[in-house]
Amino acid sequence: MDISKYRDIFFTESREYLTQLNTVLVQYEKDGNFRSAVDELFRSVHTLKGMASAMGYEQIADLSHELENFLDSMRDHNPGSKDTDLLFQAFDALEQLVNAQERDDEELDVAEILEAVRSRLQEGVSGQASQSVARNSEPIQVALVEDGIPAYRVKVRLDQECVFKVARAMVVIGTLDSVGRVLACDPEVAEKAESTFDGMFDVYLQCSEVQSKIEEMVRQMPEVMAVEVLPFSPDMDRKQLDPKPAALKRERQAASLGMDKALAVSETVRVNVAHLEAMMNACETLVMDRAALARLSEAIRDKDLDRLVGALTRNLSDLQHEVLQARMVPAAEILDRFPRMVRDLAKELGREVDLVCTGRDTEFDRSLLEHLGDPLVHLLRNAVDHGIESTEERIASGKPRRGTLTISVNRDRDNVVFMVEDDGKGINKDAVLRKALDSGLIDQDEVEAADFDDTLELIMRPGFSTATSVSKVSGRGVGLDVVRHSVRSLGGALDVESAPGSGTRCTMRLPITLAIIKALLVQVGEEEYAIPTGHVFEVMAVPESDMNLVNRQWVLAREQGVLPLVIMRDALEVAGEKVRDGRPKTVVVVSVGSRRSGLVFDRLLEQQDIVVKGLGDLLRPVEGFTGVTIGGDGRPILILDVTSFV
Amino acid sequence: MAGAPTVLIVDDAVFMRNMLADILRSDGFEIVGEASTGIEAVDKYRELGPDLVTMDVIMPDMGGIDAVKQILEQDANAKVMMCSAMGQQALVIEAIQAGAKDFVVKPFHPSRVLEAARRIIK
Repeated sequence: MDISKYRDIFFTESREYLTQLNTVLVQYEKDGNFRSAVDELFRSVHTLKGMASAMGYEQIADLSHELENFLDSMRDHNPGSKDTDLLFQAFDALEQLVNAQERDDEELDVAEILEAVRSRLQEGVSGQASQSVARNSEPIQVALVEDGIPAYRVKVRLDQECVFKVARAMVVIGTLDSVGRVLACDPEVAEKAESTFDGMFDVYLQCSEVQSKIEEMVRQMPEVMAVEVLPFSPDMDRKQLDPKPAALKRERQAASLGMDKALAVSETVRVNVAHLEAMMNACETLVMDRAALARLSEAIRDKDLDRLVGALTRNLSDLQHEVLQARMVPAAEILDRFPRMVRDLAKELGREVDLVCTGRDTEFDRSLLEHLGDPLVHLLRNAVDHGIESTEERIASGKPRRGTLTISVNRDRDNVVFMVEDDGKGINKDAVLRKALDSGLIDQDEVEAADFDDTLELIMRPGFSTATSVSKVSGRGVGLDVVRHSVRSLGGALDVESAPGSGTRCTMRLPITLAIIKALLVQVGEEEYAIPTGHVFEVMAVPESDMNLVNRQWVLAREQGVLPLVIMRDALEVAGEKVRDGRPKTVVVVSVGSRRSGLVFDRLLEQQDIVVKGLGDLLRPVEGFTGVTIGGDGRPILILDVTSFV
Repeated sequence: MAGAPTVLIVDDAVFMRNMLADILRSDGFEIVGEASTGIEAVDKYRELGPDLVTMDVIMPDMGGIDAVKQILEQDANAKVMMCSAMGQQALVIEAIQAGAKDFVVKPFHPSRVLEAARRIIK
């Protein structure tokens, strides 16, 4: 049997189970209800073991097997923190093994954790469980002796009343050998002492009899309590004997649960990510071709061609929508790893924190996935480290003992919005200003003029502070400039709000896809730029005479108030005439958080879908742009990072 | 197999031989011979060629295990059932490794003896 085709699904699924394990255990730490947790943990570990065995990933199967025994031993008593820590470590080790296996790196050694689980099991629980560990500690190898004859694993359990268990087992084995060929026994019964043999054993058999016939034959033997005959292939050349009869029942339960699950999701298929990427790439190419074709048809001015281009545009838009849908992943993919992370972090920093995640079902394009982790981790770390107070401080200030950290994910038009909110001490304006003054970011005048918004802006500036000093001084700011930089480079925006004494909220707003976005194409002088519509609030045509220079700042007086303007010709240092050429200008009003600015361009060209390409490492440090796209005529068009002009 | 299955009973105690004979006869077995030592058992097997042999584990001169080995040397398809007492499991294991097909443990439960006997000659 070729098992390599199951590889991808193995890795995807085993990660799901690992996430599940961590989530359930974190939940147990929170609610103390192990009874509900243990079944789920056991099931996940058991399934993982089965999958790993089938793939021949022995280390994963071994560790899962020990964990299964360990969990089984804890059914009747709640594990203490020592045990949960050990379980967490073991889950980490499993994850490392899975990762290593995916890289085909078999060097990883988890003997230490394996041993830790084993010895904990031996010291903590009844002799029976440790016996079953000892029995299963050596993997066995089974090789078929003859091709074309079916192989079985015959699981036998003898009557507890049986006085000569070893002898009885050998009779069973001998009988099986008389109808086929016994390949191996697990445990090796003949070498067992009567006192250490519990009467449960597996016989690996190659035999041309049918499954039911073999089962019937063994069942009829004296002192055989239970028998189960399973098809076997050497790909699964590892033992899977369950430690206790009860486990047999659970296995069946788990199997039937798995079946229900499979039925429930039969409307979906798993697709290799590579196909999704290829589909998106094909779409991107089509989008660019369409733009080129549109430009061509404009020049030719043929009615039929125009209609064709129109139809193509619509169809392509539909296709793009569908491809994007197929690539959507739920926020759960990224959120589900946080409970464990926050739990570790809180423990490390001596905080008591409850994490609440909402919007797990909110979807976004998978291209965002790999970029989201770091910024979110930064924000969470900040919140636990600098936002949420120590238990003593919280009690002293009359707050609930445990801090609450909330991550919520929402969809807002073409954006996905991540909000990380804590109920900690908030940002201390004076401390931030003092720090900024000390590090030379601002001078005394600016300190006096600064309002709270300016203060929040300061902590997101590069060079505001380093992690160690800020955690002593003000309590927040670690790496926020880094977060803002990465969010901006994804075409998004970071916004921080804080209420001193009651908490801080960081909002990350990102386009739902990084691959193809809607953008306005605008012109300054001879140059074209693209503005992602995600940030665009409105677009106006404004006569030059309405724009006024006040205190060295161009502004536009409107009913709603004064709108600060940014003359893009100056900001982008575009060659050519200065702003006053007498023609009305295009003002693109962009909003970032609560701030609005009008970006002044010469002309609005059109709105279209653009394919976003990164700037590459060489150009990344350039402020003001998030990427580049290819125009209909093949020229590169820079995509403006509007947030850096607001 | 035509007619009643034939049995050779090997045990040094007459009590046990009679008891086994009664049990087996009650279920239609035909007792074709009895032996009280291992050597006798090997000779009688050659002479009678029974369908089944019940073999005591511990007997004077030749023990049951050596007898099993010698009988199987004569007839690889010989069907031998060991009759053992508590505490003799090591010898039973040895006998099974030597080729005995099954065993019963004294004190005998008639149903257990017949179950094993029937299954062996099947």
